[in-house]
Amino acid sequence: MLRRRLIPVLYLLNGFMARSQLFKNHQLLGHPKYHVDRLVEWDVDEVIILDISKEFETFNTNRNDYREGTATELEDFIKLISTECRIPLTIGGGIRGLTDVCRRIQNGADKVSVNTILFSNPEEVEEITKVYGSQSVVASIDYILDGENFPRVYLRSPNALKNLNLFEEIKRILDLGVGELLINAVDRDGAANGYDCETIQKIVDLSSVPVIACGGAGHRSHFVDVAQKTDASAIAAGNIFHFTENSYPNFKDYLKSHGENFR
Amino acid sequence: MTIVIIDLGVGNIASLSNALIYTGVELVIASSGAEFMGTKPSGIILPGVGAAGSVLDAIDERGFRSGLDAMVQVSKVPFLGICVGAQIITESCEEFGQANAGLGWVPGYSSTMTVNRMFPLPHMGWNDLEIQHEGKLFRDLNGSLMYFAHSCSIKTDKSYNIASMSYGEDYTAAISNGNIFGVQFHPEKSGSAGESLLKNFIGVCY
Repeated sequence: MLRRRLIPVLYLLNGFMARSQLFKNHQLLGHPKYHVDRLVEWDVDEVIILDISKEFETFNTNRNDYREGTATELEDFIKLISTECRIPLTIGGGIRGLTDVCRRIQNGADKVSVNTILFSNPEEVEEITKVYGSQSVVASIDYILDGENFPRVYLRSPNALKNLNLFEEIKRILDLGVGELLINAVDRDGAANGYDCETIQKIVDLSSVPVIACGGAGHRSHFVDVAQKTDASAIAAGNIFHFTENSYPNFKDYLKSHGENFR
Repeated sequence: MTIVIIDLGVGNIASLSNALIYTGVELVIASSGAEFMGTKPSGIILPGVGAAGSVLDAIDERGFRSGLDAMVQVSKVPFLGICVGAQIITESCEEFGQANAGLGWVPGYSSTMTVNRMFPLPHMGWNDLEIQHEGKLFRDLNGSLMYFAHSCSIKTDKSYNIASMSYGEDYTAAISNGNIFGVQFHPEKSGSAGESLLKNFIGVCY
């Protein structure tokens, strides 16, 4: 039987690991290599690394205090973290076209996560899924609830279209051939008040591809909650794995003790 | 003892070569048929990412086909195809409503799996391996979990089907025919179980 997945998401800001809160405040947490090494040690199901830097590929910011090698190029950076990574690695952030995907995959990424171009250049996404296959492309979609509690696509660019209907956009994006949906509730990002199970289940119901639910984990019971109330194929979280001792294996044990089907 | 990886230019060779380097084996990456013919492989691995049609095209464009046939079919060098690399060694690969002629080393064909709401495609994640014929490849791996990422699966006679997995219905997880092996999952991404499988394959190559 296929297991549901529990996926740590790491956020990169100018080459540092960062904690994200409501997509705005970021606290730097040091060299990403240490974080990836720890996840490998925990034998996590998968890792997603999202670069949230404004100017992409600025990886070397005064990092000579670290014993680990530094990387000034994206290629080196992915190589550095993927060498010891014997589990699926998804890299996202700053992907504008096929060439960007190629650079990431050839250096050790197994999948890429795309966001902005789903809206700005969907034809390019179609091209990417044709060349690399659906299974290599994760569509990362952020949303917020509007005044009437209706989910709207959230785009970071100030020039982006506003008020897009999340469900309609997801239907359109599925037709591009993407292999997974990473659904992130922006107003729950770092808020630690639980997953938006209602919206997640609505998306699972209309999706033909696996759905990864993200945003809101603040307590281990939130994982059980989203596992019980939705059919999401995977549950992702960021901050919660950073701050508690042995967090990932403990959460897995907790989920399994509640009869949930995890590895 | 040299393992040769067939590099078709698409996909992540790094994952596989990292995993193999970890086992301590000597590794050669061949990017063309000419390079390939200059090697003396004890074993050959074909990692496959993307569409079966484009993988088959790349085998021809890069001039691998005759060399692969000679090494695998005539000289009987052990061969391991991974994911799409396993699908294309059957007789035919159907995808996007189109059939592509495979290498035909193992009787059978691949086609798109059944999709429904409870079983979305791609089949993505960790699933139990149900081993039918342990052989050397699956030694000590019964009941282990492997990482899958695919939407097509192989249909073959049960004498070639050495492992299955279940996803709404039973599907082929691995095939073999003499010196030829194909696995639908990704051993290079399946943690310690995947690493054991790669070591087992290296054991076959000795």
